[in-house]
Parts: sequence; structure tokens; C-alpha cells
Amino acid sequence: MSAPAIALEGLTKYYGPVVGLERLSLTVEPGEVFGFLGANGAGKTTAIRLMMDLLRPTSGSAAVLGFDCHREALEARRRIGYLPGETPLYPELTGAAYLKFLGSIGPRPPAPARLDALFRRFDVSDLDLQRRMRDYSHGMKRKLGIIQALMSEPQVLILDEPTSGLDPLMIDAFAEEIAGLAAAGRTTVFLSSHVLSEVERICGRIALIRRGSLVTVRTLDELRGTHPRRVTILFSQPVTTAIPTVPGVTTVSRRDREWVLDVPGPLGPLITALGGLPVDDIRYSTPTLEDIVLGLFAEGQPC
Amino acid sequence: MLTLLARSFGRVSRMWAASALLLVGFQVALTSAALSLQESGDYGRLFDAVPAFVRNWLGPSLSSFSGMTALVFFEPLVILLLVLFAVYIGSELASDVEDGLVDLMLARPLPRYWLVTRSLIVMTVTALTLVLVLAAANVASVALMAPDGVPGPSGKTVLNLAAHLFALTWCFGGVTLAVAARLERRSGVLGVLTIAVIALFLLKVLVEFSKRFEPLRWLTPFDYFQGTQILLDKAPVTLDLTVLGTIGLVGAAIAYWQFARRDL
Repeated sequence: MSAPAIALEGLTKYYGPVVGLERLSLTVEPGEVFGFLGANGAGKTTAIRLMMDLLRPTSGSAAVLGFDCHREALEARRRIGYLPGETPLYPELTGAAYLKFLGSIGPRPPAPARLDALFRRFDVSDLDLQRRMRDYSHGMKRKLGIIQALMSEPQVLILDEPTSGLDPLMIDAFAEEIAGLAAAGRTTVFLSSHVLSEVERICGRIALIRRGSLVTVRTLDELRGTHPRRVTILFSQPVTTAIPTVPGVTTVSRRDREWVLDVPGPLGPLITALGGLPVDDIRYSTPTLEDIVLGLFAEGQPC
Repeated sequence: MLTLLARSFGRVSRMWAASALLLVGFQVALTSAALSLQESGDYGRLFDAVPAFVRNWLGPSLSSFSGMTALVFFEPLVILLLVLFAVYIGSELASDVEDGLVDLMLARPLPRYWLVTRSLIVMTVTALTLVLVLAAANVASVALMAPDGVPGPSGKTVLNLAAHLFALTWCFGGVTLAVAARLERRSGVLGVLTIAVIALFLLKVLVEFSKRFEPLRWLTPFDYFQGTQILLDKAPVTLDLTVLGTIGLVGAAIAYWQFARRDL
């Protein structure tokens, strides 16, 4: 049985009295595209920097493809492509020199065909590559940052807020690139974000983190399934009887001709319980991922 | 490692070249002044004209052509230029952390200690080559400008002065590495070290000018470069170089230890 692509076990980091991350445990399987969601300051970057051995854990451990991120850091990093949250650069270098420098200290030199494909994907021209990085826009720096992470075709990609600063076209290009890697199945992608639409589009499974602690790890479908649908029942005449008791159903509000209920799971039991009442219409809405995640961020309740 | 070194050398090459030019210019100016004094026969008047404490400090460098041309090695401006250059180069680690470049480099399979080794090598090589440029300028300017029959400083003297100047520079470079391996901002490192360098230099000046500060003499690395004593061939060369080298080595060792265990 192969090792998980990423395994975090009780990973904890305190900055003095401040909790950066507390007992984070999760596993990412090879080939997965995994989203790491949290508000600003939730601990996403701390977790990533612990995986990269840039921070040392207070307790717990992190491993990439079976290699401990601290004790076997070189072996782990040999397999990782990393994009930091802020794209660091050598302002005096041209884009081409920057990539050449990073390629030459990387685990293997990037294949020219791979680089060309990335330049095309992210619309980076020869002219762009000959300009000094101090003259780059924020988006251009970010594109170079993404390219340097991808160019060596690593087995595991760890990307911290990868689309921050990219325009919608480039966000599309990034999503297509990640989708291509996922389809090929050779690369595991771990990306942090607070942009829900991006995660919803790219990731198969997500972890939610709040104030340094894990809230949940679910697939998007599982996450949607755990949250109730909001059902509005409209009556043709005023109803004064008690709302029937159905397991799991909670009342949001009630008026003479309208009940608003939250219904987890199937609607069948509720519809059966409404038998004999003058139901005129039933409307329901499925919560968006944003509703769910914002709710989880606000509540912080494990689910 | 070679790639890292090339990148770091590339970043400081202009600064190195400017410093080398300044040092050469300084040496040429000093040799010209020495030549002028030699031709006008004013060394005696110069020696008599300066205050006693300056005579005590600079001694034989004010009384002959060879002494004055050798003064460049322990002239305060030159020493401070070289020491502060080493401080700047030694602060590269903090700059890498501050700019996030350490994230990019250590995302690759590079051991952390490589970054310390890189900075140590760059600091050592740039300081050494600057001192060699100064020594070459000294030898060349004396060879080209000295009047017939007037000797310049001996090869041994130049070598000793250059070795001390390099050791002093390297000593502060090593200490800078230790501080840079702990702090996260280059400005912080430069601030701390610049103040320390100036304070220790002032201590050296006070020690020279006032006997009350004599017990503190051992505290300042500048005291282990006794230029006038080297000119007189009376300096404890081995002891001085050992002390300066040891301080630098301890600084470098602390840098390795600190950088290996810290959060970046």
C-alpha cells in the first residue's frame, strides 16, 4: 500500500502564547486535488510552512509521500512544487533568469517542452521573460510563481493562495492546468484558498480550518449533504395546528399561511407529515458552498 | 551550491566594484600625498605639527614615505568601509528571510546550512578580494610613484597589514552572520551591527587617547589590528590574528546553529 501523498498527524504550532495551528490531522491521497479553506489568519499558511519545513512544529508531524517533512526534509522537498502566498522574487533578474536559477537548484531541470506548455497556458511571452521582475505587475509575478512551482513536474504541489492577483482568464488557465494534472493522476495538489468558487471548481475534497483547528474534512457533495435544505411551505388558508414532528426538521419561522423549516436528508417524511394540511406550494433552496462554509466559519462547530 | 554562490556574487558585484574603486582611489591619493611630502621634505614638520595623541596612534605612518603609503590599511575610513561592507554581505540571510527568497530556495532539496555556507563564502571572498585589491593598489602605486631610492613598505609589512585588515573584516562578518541568522530583517541586522561597529571603534579611540579606558582595551576587535606596531614590527601578529579569527569562527558557528533550528 503506497504512502499518502500528505499525512498530517496532530500538527501543532504555537507562536509563544498564540495558537497558529492546533492538532491538525488529515490525509491527502495520491492524485487528489485537495482544498484547504480558511479565513485570513486561520492557520492555512502555518500548516503549509510546517509541511515545507520552514517552520518547526511545537508537536505533531507532517509527511509527504511517506517522508517526514522535518527529519527527511530533503527527500520530501525533492517531490514538492511549492508556491508561497507572496511571490518572492529577485527584482534585478529577468523572468527567464529567475526560472533558470530556480530550475538549476531544483530536483531536476525543467523540460523545455513543459516550460513552453506552461508559458502558453499562462500567456507568458518571450518579451515578458526578458523583462526584469521589478517591472512586473502583481499578476505577472504570480504567473511566474505558479510556473516555477509546476515546471519540475513534482509529485506533490503545495500552493498557497495560488490565484490571488490573477485575472479571471488566468484563473481559468490555472484551473485547466490543475484539472489536467488531476486527470493524469500523477500529481497531488494541496491548495489553500479563501475563494470558495475556486475551491468548488478545482478541488475534490476540502478541509476547513478555523482559528488553527480543523473544522471538517469532506468532499463537496458530503459537505452539501450535511447541511439542511430550507423548505418554505405555503398554505391556501391559515393553519393553526402544531408543526408535525419529523426527526431532524427544525423550525425557522411560522406564520398563518407560511412555515419555513430546515430539513436535512430526504423530503419524503416531511411531505408525508403534511398530509391533510391545505398545502398550496412547497419551495426549497439548496445551500451554496459559500453558505455552508460561511456558516462553519462562523459557528466553528465540527460537523 | 555554485548556483547559489553565483546568484549572491551577482547581487553584490556592483557594490564590490564600487568599493574596490574607492579603495584604489584612496590608495592613489595617499601615495600622491606621501610623494608630495617626500618631495617637499615636510615629514618632519608634519610629525611635529600633529597632536601627541595622533602621533602615538599613527606614529611611523606620519614620518616616512613607506609609513604613509601603508597608512591606508589602518586608516579609519578604509577600515570602516571594509567592515561595513562585510556587515552588509553577512546580513544576506536576514534579507533572504525578509524577502521570502528563503521560501523559494528551501522549497528545493537544499539543506538549510547551505545558505549559511553560501553567505560565509561570499562574505569571505568579497572581503578577501577587496583587501587584495587594496594590497595590489598599494604595491602598484608605490612601484609607479615612489621617488628613486625611497623605499615603500616591505612585502612582509604589506602582507601583515593586509592579513590583519582581512581578519578584522572577517571577524565582523562572522558576527554579522550570527545576528543575521536570528533576525528577520536586514535593516535590523545592519542597525545593530553598525551601532556595534561604531561603538567598538569609539572604544578603540578612547583606549588610545585615555588611560582610563585601558582596562577595556581587550573588548574591541579593532584593538587586535595595531597598524603602527605592525609597521614597527612589534605587533603580536599571531595572537591578534587568532583572536580575530576565533571571533569570526564563533560567529559563523552560532549562525549555523541558529539558522538550523529557527522558524523561517
